Amino acid sequence: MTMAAAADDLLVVDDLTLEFGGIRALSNVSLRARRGAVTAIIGPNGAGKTSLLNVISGFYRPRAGRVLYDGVDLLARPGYARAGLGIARTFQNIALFRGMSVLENVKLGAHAELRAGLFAAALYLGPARREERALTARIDGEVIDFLRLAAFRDREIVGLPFGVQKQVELARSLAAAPKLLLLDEPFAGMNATEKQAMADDIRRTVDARGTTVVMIDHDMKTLMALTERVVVLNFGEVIAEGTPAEVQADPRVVEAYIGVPEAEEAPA
Amino acid sequence: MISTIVELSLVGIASGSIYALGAMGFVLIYKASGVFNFAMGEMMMIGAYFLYTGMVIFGLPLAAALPLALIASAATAAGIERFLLRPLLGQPHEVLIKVLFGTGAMLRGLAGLVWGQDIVRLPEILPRKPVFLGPFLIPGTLAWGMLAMFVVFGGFMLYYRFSRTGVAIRATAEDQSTAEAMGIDIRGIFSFTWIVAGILATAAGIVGASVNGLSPYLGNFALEVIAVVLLAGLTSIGGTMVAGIIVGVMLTLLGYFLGGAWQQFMPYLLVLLVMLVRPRGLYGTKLVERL
Repeated sequence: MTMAAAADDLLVVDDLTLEFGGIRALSNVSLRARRGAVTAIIGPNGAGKTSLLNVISGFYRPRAGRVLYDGVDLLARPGYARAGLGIARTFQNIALFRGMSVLENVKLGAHAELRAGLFAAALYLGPARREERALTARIDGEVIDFLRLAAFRDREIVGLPFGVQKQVELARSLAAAPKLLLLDEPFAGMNATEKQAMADDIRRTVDARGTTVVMIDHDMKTLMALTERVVVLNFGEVIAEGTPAEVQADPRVVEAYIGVPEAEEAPA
Repeated sequence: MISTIVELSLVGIASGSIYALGAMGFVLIYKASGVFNFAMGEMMMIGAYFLYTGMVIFGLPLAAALPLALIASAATAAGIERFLLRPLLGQPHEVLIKVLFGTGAMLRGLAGLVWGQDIVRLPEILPRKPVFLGPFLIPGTLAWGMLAMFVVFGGFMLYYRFSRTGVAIRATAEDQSTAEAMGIDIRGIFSFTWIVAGILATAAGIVGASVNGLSPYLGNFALEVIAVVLLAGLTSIGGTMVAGIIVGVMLTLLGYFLGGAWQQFMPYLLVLLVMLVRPRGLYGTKLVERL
């Protein structure tokens, strides 16, 4: 398993160390996400997977290390600048704005691309209004229809089935046509049919739009069929990486990852 | 008797709409940033003095003095946010509350120094001629003031509901980190809500001062405003209008039938009763943990 050439990597994480009051959440974590591929981060609970995603999102400041995105030093940028650079994410616990409709939520995903400033938008006149209409039209076609959400478009989030809410969160993250998509446990809490549909949607996005995906999940079976590359974290350190087959065969992974459901496939 | 009550109620609705506007600025800041703005009353007072300065001291026409007053109070509000609150981001809330109490006292003191302690009159922006609604008579300033309040309130509700910035404020109010992940500059939103609150406070202050006269103590109004905010439930922008009207009507009727002493505490007795039955206020969302 050789590292791909740097130009092929959209995201490069180098030697990241994150501490919370002396407790080390991440130690010298490095990983690369290849353009147009799905990279999965797996590992037992508390391994630091969400912490890693939160550093990339700019919620946490690491003690040391670098995060390069398309050559841009992400750690030097404020959290809200990520969206404008083409990075979108979903959250482990559904983080939709519950008081708003599906369409409003999805449109917020494209908030960063609206050019009208706070004050022009506040007056809701002229260019701001035209921009808003163009955005709605684009979102209807590229996101709402793409993810089969037309029937729910104008419904409030409260009261929508769980699987639909998950889909709306994915829709919101696709609204800005991101180059890098960070997905935190997109399959959590889903039944087998919903998981398959979600995996298909992620695959369709990557294949049709060349999106780069970095995702976390526990569902090994679904992940293994979806991802090109897997990085295994344990106690804040990368213990293995490679293709799904390589990682599954790695004895360190089997040892750390007691929760592997396909235990019979792991070497004894 | 009935016609007196109706007439007084109309007056109450009119004065209630002034409270509602102040309360709306208060709720907006609270929703976006969780800050309890105890200087809201003083922001109303300062805004009215800015208009007074433009019109009376510099002799400007209303058309010039009003925009200038709105700009000056927006700048004052932005300054409070930027230089007093931003450095305290992440501090416990009681620190912010103390700072804002202090800010209010400072604004009151400064206003006394600059404009004096006496009650002054704003030039007559609102016609004094009483307005007849059918057989009922309302003082002109109140009637026109109410109309102005409703226009500002309605305009703001539309903007908050439909404009991109309104959506960004609502998103920030609901979940700051998710809002940030959407590319919303939440610090920009904090500044913006203060600026809007400053403008709303000025509108309320000008109408309040037109009705009752202007002094550094106009901000005591804020006591009623806080009663309205608590009654509405801290997080409901639309609810402030209903709560404002309830408090306004109640105060006017009490003042007429029972005298001024009753006006002082009855709004709070009402708030207390509402809190006992419904701790989150009339329209608030879950805020106090349920028992």
